[in-house]
Amino acid sequence: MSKYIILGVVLVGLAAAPLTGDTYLMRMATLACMYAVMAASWNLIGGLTGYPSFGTAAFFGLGAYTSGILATLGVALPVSIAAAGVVAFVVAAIIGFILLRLKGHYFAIATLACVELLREIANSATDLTGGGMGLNIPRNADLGIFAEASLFFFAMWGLLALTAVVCLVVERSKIGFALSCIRQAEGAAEMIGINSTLYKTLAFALSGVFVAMAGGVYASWVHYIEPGDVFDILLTIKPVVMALIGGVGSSVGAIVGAIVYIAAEEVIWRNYLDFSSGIIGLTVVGLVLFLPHGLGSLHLRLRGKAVTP
Amino acid sequence: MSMLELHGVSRSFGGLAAVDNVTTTFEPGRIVGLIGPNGAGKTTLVNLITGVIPLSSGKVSFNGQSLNRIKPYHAAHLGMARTFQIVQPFNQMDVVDNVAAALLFSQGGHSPASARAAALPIIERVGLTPSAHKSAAALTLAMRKRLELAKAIAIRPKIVFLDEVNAGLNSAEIDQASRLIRELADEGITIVLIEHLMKVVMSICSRVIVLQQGRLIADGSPQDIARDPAVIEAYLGKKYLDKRHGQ
Ligand SMILES: Nc1ncnc2c1ncn2[C@@H]1O[C@H](COP(=O)(O)OP(=O)(O)OP(=O)(O)O)[C@@H](O)[C@H]1O
Ligand SMILES: [Mg+2]
Repeated sequence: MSKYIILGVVLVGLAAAPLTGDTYLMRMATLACMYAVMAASWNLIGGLTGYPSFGTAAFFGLGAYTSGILATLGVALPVSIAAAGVVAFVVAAIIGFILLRLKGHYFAIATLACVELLREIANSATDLTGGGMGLNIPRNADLGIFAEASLFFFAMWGLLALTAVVCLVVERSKIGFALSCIRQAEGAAEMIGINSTLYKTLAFALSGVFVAMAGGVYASWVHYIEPGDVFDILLTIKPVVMALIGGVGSSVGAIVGAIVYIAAEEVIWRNYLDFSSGIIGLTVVGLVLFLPHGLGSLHLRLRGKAVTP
Repeated sequence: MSMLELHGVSRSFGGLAAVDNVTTTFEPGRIVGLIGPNGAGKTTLVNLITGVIPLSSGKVSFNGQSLNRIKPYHAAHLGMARTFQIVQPFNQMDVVDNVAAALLFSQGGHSPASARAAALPIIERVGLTPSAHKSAAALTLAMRKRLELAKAIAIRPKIVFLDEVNAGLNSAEIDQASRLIRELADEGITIVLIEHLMKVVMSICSRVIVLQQGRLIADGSPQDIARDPAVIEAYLGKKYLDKRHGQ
């Protein structure tokens, strides 16, 4: 029950950002929503199913380019974003069907290779993507700075709300039950009648959809994308760290982890510009060693209790 | 037509013929012992029948339907259950959810909630009710073996492969398990019992088949098998022979 309250508080809290009238704060809130979408999505495959995907950036970039290219053709924003989701679902299902027979670090490396592959495709399909020159995405209309910031904030916020609802429904449903069985003992899961290939592929495809839609919103938000930017490996790594912060396996945890990360990163960036990635690295090591079940287990840890997942 | 038919079933790993040209049939409602020394290919044979690993050659059919190239989840839907020699519980779930999962995914018509309710009588049947809400990781080995059995029963199987469900149990626990296995057979479920404890095999099996180095070397009643010189030499060893004559 408490996770629904936490999610409600987080969503309402984020929605208050435009009330401040501060465009910097709104930019941070938009970014937080974007990463929360990605962390919760990663949790579906990496946390719930136990397949550590490093393909997040592939779907982000795929969504950004799908939506961006459609926008240059004059397609409206909601349609181009929905299209990004559909394309990512299909592509992720195909990639998942092929790669999900690998396990552990083999799977991780193979998904990482997908990021490189899609980046190279985006780089070389110059006619479509503009290649290394990047792609300019036209503004819908001249809204003014604040109205435009609000538009993209609410687009990202709405996407987060949608992602959170879908993740929670999946977690509680028969699908989530199957994924949890697969994570814990895949052979035994098959033996009680679970079509593991089907469920894993579904989880991977779903984990791609919302990331791609976030990429689509991002492309229109920043008006210009290039392969190195939207297929950035950090877009793969950060959501994993965020899910670690929140405690792997919980989508609400991943969302909270994303917000904590974005806030912490901002503080660190401002104060320790030279050493920021070092601090992020140390945080990861510290988390894995001392809080493997995330911030949510901190109170147990402080009271010296054993933590069981 | 028999329930389960194997024709020339073979599987090799590299140069090793783990299962070598096995042909046999299984009839409904009987308890068949599958015995043989360590590494004889017993577990591999079950893996082949249930689709865990593909056949190198041969044919498997179940109620007339070919099972070649089948996947394990499909075998479960057709009514084949198996327990794992090395138990594989869902460790982060409690006993109820372990059994509920088996109910939910092997047959239609269940929601997670209704599957949890339907799991309780099965848990009672294997004697795990006092531990129903314990996580599987917290169970003793004997209890985890019973949990394997409960999951196998939950898929409402026509045939069950029990891979050393008695290993590591004390004699009271073994008697309890034997009683349950007999009950299941009385309900018409075919039991294939992989078992090293000859006492159990002799007391509950109506037929015994013997594997040695992947080959089926004997097939008959427990009494015949116990007298078969090839079996005695391959599996039971000279000691057993001496003991029998000494009795
Ligand atoms: N996946 C595998 N890869 C390679 N060799 C294997 C594999 N599985 C089984 N084997 C080999 O096949 C042979 C048969 O093994 P299997 O586990 O079926 O024997 P078993 O009769 O079940 O023995 P036990 O009584 O010890 O359980 C052994 O030599 C084993 O090492
Ligand atoms: Mg074995």
